[in-house]
Amino acid sequence: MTKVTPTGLRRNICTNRLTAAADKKSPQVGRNFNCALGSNIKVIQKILQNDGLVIYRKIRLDTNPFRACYVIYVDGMVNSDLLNENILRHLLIFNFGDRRQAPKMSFSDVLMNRVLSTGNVQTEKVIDSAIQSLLYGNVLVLVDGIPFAFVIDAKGWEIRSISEPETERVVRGPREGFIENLITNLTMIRRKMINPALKMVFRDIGTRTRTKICIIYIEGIARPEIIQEVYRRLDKVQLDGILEPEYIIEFIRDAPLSPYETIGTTERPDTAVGKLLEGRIVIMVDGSPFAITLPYLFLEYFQANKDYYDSFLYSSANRLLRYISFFLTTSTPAIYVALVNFHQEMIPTRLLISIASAKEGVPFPAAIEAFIMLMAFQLLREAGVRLPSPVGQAVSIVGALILGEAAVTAKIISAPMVIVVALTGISGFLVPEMPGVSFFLSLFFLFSSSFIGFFGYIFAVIAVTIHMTSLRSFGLPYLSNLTSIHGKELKDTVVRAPWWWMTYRPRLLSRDKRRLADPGRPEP
Amino acid sequence: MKKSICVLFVFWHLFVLWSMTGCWNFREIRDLAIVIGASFDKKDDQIYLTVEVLSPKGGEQEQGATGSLGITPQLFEGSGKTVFEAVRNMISKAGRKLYWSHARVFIVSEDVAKEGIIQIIDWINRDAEVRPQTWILVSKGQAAGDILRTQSKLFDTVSMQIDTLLRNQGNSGKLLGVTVGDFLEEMQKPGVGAVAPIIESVKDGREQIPQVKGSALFKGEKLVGFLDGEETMYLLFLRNQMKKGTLIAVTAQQPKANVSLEIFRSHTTKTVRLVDDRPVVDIWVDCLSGIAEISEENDVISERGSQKLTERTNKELRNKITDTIKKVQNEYGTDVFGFGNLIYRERPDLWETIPKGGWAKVFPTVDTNVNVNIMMRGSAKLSEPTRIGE
Repeated sequence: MTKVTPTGLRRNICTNRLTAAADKKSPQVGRNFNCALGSNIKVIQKILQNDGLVIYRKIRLDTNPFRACYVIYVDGMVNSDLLNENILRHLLIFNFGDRRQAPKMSFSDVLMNRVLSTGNVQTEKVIDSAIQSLLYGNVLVLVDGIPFAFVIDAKGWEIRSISEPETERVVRGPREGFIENLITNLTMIRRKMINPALKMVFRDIGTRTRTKICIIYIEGIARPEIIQEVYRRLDKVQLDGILEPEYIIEFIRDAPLSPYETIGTTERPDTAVGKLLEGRIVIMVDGSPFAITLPYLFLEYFQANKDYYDSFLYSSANRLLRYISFFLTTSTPAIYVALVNFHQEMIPTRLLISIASAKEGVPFPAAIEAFIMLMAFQLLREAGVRLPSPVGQAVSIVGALILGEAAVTAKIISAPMVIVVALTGISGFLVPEMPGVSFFLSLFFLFSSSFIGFFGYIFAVIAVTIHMTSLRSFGLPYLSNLTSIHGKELKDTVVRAPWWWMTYRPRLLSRDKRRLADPGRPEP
Repeated sequence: MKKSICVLFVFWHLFVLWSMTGCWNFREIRDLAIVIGASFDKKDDQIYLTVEVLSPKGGEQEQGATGSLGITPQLFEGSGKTVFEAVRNMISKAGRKLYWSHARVFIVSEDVAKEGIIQIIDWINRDAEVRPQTWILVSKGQAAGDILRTQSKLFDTVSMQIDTLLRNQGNSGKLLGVTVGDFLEEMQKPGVGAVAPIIESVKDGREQIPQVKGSALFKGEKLVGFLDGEETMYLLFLRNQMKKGTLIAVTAQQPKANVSLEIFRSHTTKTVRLVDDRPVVDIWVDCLSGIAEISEENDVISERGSQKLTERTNKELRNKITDTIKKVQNEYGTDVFGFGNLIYRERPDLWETIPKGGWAKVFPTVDTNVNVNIMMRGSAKLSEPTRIGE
């Protein structure tokens, strides 16, 4: 398609240096500024044609002979106080003719050292890079006779205030969450880790959106091989637009077809720093409050940040509950169907009679019932998620109470099946990060067990286990540490050991494995 | 491209493999008639089978007694030349397939048991659905089907009542519950006669209710006699199956004043030795018990009184046990105590000398030497006999 498009038209739409630089025939692009202000402005205006947000402010500087100067910025993306007070005002009133104020300096040095009183001022020779900065919210100052542009950092736009993230609430713990602004997010991480070893590497990604991403790691803890691998994979992302971390995740993750996630996300700076300290790498994407954490292992589904903020006993109990709930949410329908349709001898007599009397008059086999109810539950869940919260609650009440009750009364669904599916659904909410996995697994297990009972269930479990064992996340075995036979590696898995006992970081994850200099129970 | 086709191929095969199983062994619950108990009678070479079936009728039944499921059991009868034929003939009456995995109780009538129980036991152990953990009982003097026709007052079905009773048999000390599996094992072991509890239907007010009492003794596969409840207690002592129970002792000073002893724990050891080339079985009964009831004011708690009580009870229990052994040896001639098995295990050389099948002749002549040692532990909540004021 690009071949058919006339080059001039394409240039107008895109500000992409790569594409433009590759375009050898283009006469104006990919070149440096020259000394003639008029031609520079023309080039810029040509590139930014039909972009009404860009404002060109022409100033006649107080020099002898007078020189023209352009201040270019994007409306709404700059801090207007800063622009007016520290850039425009100084440019307007500064007396360049007064040699006392600028002794023996070149003209550009005077501008740099005496006039532009903002923090970050750089010079840029390449037109396209300058435009790139302009569109990111910097102010360009072009002066007649100077073959480069001053790029002044005066970014300032409206951002959402920092609030508690909806997805990962805690009872105890910090209440701040990431927002959509990359720099603010990075400061949140930086504030928690006052150490020069914290490295933040910026990259532009997305051939058209030029989204800024930041790769964060702690030097000395993170393994260099993994960092190199992340760079290698990020280089391959040639998508034109990155609006959300998932755009990147799907490119760089291992086993892209697996329902299991091999890359995690978090909305909390404390979680992100916690992952960094374990040797993981965090990638922040501008415009999204979600940070990517990698490598991501299976046991991280069950590690919630609040585990580390509560007493270790209580946290361990909660972790166990989560593992049990994972089993319940994936297996309850399958086991129920296997028992009721194939292995009635395993049900206690009284329970069997209860189930039998509840199923009397229900037209469907248990497997069909289970499928209908699981689908109904997923429908309600999805409806509840997308609707505004007051309506969402109404939907869940209608769904749970009225639909369930009516289905049982009308003898379409048996009452035990409602209990089974409710149990499946509720326990699914204990591990909220894996709705997809638990849904697929429960359907898969249900399908298998509805054909040959427990044999099918066990076959399916074996298949899933084989799949999980063969998964890798950035070179790390997906089940690692969870399946370890060494006690010291199991301290942060199914249970959480107290902090004074967790001497080591996860083994394969980190370079510097020792976390605690002086382990052992603190003596009072 | 090639890889993805491979994966699809595998998935397709898995799907076909699974879905072509035809849902092997698929049974809807509503197609099952859940058998909870069954009884076997015999008339004119025909086996008459009566089964108690739980039939859920949907959620409309009234709520029954406490702990009840509110289910009225249905009885079905069928007959056939063999047990299996009778079972299969029953389908034409019940409409649903009989489902035996939840059967709790099998009742065999006295007539059937006298002729030989092997075909029933064989079917129960051979069939895939029936469990060997099912209780087996013998109905004394009545058709076994009549037991299932009695009414249970606290339970939904007669079978559930018998099941619960035999599970909690430990507290009465006069019941010997036997499962089909155990029965078969004892029947097959050398030198042991099998035992099964007796069930009768008795009149209680206007209703007939089932009662389990005493035990039936088998010689090989055939029923040879009965022991009453008290004798069953001594049988339990001899088989080292006494868990908990009551002993009634009389004191020396006032022969009519009874003292009830509660048995907490009991252990019986048996050894065999040779005296003049004849086996003598030594039996030691160690029994831990406490006073549960003192009917008249007499001294059984002081050291001296307690000692006297113990001695007297020891002697009495020894006599009763010896009497039971004698009765079984002389009247029935079946070794329900397992003396033969004791010799088989402890003195295989001696067992070799007995001709095959000859143990039945030797058993009545075996001498026994019973030693009872009762240990008293306390007198429950009161430390003195209850006194009556002047």
